[in-house]
Amino acid sequence: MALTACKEGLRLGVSRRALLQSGIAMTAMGLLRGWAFGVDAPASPELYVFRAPNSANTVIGLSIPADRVFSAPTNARIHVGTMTWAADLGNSARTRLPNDSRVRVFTGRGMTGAHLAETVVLELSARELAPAATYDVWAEISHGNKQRERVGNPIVTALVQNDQELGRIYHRISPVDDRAVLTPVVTRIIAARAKRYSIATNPVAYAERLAHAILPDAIRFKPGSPLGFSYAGQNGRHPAEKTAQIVDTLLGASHTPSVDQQTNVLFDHFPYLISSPKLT
Amino acid sequence: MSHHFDTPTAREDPRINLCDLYLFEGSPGHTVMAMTVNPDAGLSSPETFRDEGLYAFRFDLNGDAREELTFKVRFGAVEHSNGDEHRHIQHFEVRQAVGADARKGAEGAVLATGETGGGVRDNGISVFAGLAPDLFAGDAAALRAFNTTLAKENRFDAEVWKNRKNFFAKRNVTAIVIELPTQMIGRGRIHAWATVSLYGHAPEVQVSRWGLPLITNVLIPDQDVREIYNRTGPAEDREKLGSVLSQFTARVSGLAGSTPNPAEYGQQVADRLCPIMLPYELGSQAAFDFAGFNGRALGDDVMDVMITLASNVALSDGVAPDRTRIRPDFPYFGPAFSAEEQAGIPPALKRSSAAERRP
Repeated sequence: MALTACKEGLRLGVSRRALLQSGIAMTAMGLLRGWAFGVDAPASPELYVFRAPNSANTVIGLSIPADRVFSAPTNARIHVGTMTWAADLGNSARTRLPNDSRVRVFTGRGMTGAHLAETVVLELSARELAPAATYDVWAEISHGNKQRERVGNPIVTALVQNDQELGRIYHRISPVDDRAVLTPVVTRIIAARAKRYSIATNPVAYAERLAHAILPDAIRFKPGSPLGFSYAGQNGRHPAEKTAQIVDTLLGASHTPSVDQQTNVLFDHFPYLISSPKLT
Repeated sequence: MSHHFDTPTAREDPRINLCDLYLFEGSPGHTVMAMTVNPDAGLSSPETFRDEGLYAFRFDLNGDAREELTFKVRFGAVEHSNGDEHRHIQHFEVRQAVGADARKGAEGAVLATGETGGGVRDNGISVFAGLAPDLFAGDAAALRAFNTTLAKENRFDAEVWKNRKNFFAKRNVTAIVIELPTQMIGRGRIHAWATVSLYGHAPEVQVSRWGLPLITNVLIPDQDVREIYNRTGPAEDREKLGSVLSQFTARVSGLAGSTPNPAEYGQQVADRLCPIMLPYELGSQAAFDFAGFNGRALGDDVMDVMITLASNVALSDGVAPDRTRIRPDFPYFGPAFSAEEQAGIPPALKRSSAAERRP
């Protein structure tokens, strides 16, 4: 069985040194492959946190463009607050762990929106998460021992995609270090965009506030509050939301005319992100 | 039309129509609060303040949605200045009230006195009251068309925003601007709102409120509910206005197809806006924009933020405040538009006969 998903605690954390090494290797490899950190880069991994369509359960979905899952063993880790789930990917078998009463896990390949993607989906029982608590949700993807990338808030994903320097640093570290390490460069990038697109009267102040809001990089999730990645707030992220428009507005295209953005279709049964997989 | 002419009461007497509130850092260590009334002053509205009016800047300092500190401004009767019947002045008095006095009545310690049209500076406190350029910008015709299509055809029409005309360009308001040492307000994050009440010959009655931009003209289509908003305080907002805001934004976002769950989006908006107050981290750079609400600077383009929030669609009316009319120092509002500059601009609203008789 290709899947070795398990629920782990913080003990699963990779050492910072190892991450640094894998980040450097990943950067170099990404540039060689021509996909990393450029405006022409193909789709990035995406992370979703939303309520299950027909229950109060929480669904966390990680979607990785299929061409990013190499022959080297690929491992995905999803972090929800202090909890971590890990799964091996890449053998294209549609598999899942046997259900337990609290968490369902799926990994498999399928179409998400217009993209063929490798997906990891967790469905957490409503009892697993405290309604009033706020969870930081993020994921990291390791390709063998050579590359590491991570994904959280789509605003940060957009920044990383378009700035090579930021990408180099970002993928090496974990959210716990984001504020200390990334704040200066993120603020500088946002301020430049804010100035270019005349978003704010004071671009630097705007950038400082936005950087503070999006770092550390994770999708914030408060189960007991209204969910949505929207102009009214960012609490979770639903696959069918027009996230790119909100990201564009916040990062410099505040006057972008409304453009219909391709959104994902959400299916009404587990694993929700992709259609009717045959589960083995 | 932040809150310009938003209710029958406002149209009947624009002197008590609270249009906008601004809150930002002024000179070092000082905070500026400014409110505007009399939309389209001089053309559709008087240029004076109502002498039974109690104009108040209210501050919630502890997060309970009730005011612990209020700065109250009252005006005397209109007089002719130096015998010139075309030039009107009013004496004013600014008071600072805390505790129970902050919530009701005209009591408080006198901070400053002066007369309209000129600035007063004393003990680090500066006050201006008088005619000023309207720094709000918005396409009123587009908003009217948007709301009409919504109400009559139950349809979301983003095309109306291509009109791109600032209805408020070269129009005036009357402004009350107070700049004072920030420590007189407090420290850290506070919440502010402004009210106008009638006070004097009858029991005090609040008739206008401003907590966030465009709450009435964008988010509350029902005239009766607008009056409820204007006559209540932030502590009652969740109960009295929460469902109104959530239902309206759920409807608009649903028609726009901008969210997979309109009801939840509506609830998210209501949670974001209620209690309806302007948050501000004292001493920080004020900005009301897509990244958040932190006070409001004179040049902030609030219309785009609020119509986008109402629909969850990136909308823009294509116009921005006239920042050339902002001064870098007190009173921060530049000179009002002169009659020559306003040549050819029609009144925004036909005056009622009662308003017409006022100076």
